[in-house]
Amino acid sequence: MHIPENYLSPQTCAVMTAVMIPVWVHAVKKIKVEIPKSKMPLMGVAAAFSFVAMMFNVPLPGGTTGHAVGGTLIALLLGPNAACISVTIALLIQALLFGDGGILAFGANCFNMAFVLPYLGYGIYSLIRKRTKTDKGRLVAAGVGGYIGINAAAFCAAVEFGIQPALFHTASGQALYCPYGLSIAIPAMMLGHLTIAGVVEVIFTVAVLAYVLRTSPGILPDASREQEAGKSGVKPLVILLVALVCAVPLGLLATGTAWGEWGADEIASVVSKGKALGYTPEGMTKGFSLNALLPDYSIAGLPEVAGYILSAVIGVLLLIIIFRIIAASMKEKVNFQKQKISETSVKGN
Amino acid sequence: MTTAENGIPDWLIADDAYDPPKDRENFITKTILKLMGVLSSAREDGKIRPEGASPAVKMIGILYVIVLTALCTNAFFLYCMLAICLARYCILPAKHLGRILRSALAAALLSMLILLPAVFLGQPSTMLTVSLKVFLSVSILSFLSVTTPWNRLTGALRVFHVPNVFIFTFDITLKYIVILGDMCVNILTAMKLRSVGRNRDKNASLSGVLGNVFLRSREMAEEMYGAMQCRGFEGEYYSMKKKLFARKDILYVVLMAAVTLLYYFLEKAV
Repeated sequence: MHIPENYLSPQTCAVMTAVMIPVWVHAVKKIKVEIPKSKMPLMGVAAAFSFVAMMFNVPLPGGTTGHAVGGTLIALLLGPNAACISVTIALLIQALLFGDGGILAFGANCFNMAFVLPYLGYGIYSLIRKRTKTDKGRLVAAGVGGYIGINAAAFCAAVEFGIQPALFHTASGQALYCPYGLSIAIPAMMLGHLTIAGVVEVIFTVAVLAYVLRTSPGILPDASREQEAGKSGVKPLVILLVALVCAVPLGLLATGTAWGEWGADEIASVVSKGKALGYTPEGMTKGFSLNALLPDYSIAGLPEVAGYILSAVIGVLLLIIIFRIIAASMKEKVNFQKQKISETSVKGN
Repeated sequence: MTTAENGIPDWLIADDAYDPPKDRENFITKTILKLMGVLSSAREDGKIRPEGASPAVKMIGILYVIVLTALCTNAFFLYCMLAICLARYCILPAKHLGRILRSALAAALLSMLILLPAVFLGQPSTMLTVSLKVFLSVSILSFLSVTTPWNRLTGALRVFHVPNVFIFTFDITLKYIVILGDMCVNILTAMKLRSVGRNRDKNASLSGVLGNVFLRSREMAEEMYGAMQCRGFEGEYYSMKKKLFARKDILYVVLMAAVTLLYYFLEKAV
């Protein structure tokens, strides 16, 4: 569910980050009240735990595996606010150091996986938990919370994808970012999450919670604190609504400037994009041609030669890189065969 | 023949015909491999000597370039950026080069696959430009993480006025990913070695691994607080301030200015 770079427009990313800022501030404030000074290192360790948990493959019926987000589980174990910060930092490390999820799309990814998922999952968990007192009820509550949480997060991601082609496209209708509209993005995302990813999340959440309940139940937040947290579970949803309402004009503003930008050079881009539409399918059937590689390289004031020079430079650089990698992989090989032959030949002598 | 003379009984020499029934334990192998990948990149990170511009400047520059790449509507600009980036990657050590290209190519191929249906929906150029943008952003980011030690990056976060608590947490997270990851790998390896043949409990013990790691991590957090208190921790976390700009950063700033000029010139020209 990690949204990579360039599937969302920078404007959308800015809006999503703006929505996340009050959430982060709220979470940090709550943690300072809820968690004593002595538990400060716990946030970092919890983030590391959530990072490691995201790498666990859960076996699925049928022999395949999948990995869970685990946001609901961390919310159950540490409370939703700590889960929000932990998942945020885990996502930041993934984006910054492992290239998993875009750095511009960081706000959007956090909105889906560090806000919607843990808060909603935890809210539903505590709602069901109030009705049942047994351990089994608790596990069911956790499973339902996890399932709904991850699907809600996937739905948010799908909506973020789906609004891109409607808001950001060139004058001739070519999408600038994600090209799929809501009618494609929502079914495509939800199909996988309602079935496979949702099941993985449920297995993961329930299994680990069951283990912790069995081995050291005292470590879970106790009932009285939990009910308190349940009360504040409604609050994040209110904040979400307020934030979204605030974000709507922001979004319109952002799209407004974007439209203005492209409106000014409408005619030129109609021409170039029209050309692009005309030839690219042909270029694709023939493989890579210069035209296919540089769809709109004809620039006023710049000779066409520039395109050729540029592609030559890129080609040379690519060749250097390929040969350097080949050379590096050659060095590491040790020829055991040769040694063996020489040994036997020595013996033969 | 010779071994029998040494007094080793025959049954010890005879070949074992035990062939344990195969069990599905893909998920263990997959998880171990994934964890090992992270651990090895974390360990390699310790060997990196910082090169080039200072981390804060590098980080700002790279964010700026990623924003420009995302905003640009002109393919020529993208190819210029590709040329600049490839030129920089060319002079990296081959090991770093491989890491950058592996992650960037994987991301670009995945995005091509995802965007393939768009070609048939009548948007062929979207696939090329978005995949190229993905390649550029991912490779630039992994360039940052390959050439800069991670603890320098946390230091660079100070420049963005990120609160101390956040940086402190980030630092601990980085350390504990290695510790917890190591723990997971050890438990999983032990589990794999001990369960020969078919073992029904394998799936169930997965929850035990993570549950155990969670319980241990709580203990470790408490121990760590104790250790911090012994060293005079009072709840306030300070990070050392370092000089933001160095002389070698000028080259970087000039390059950014050139890229900006190119961007505006080409966006106007479309």
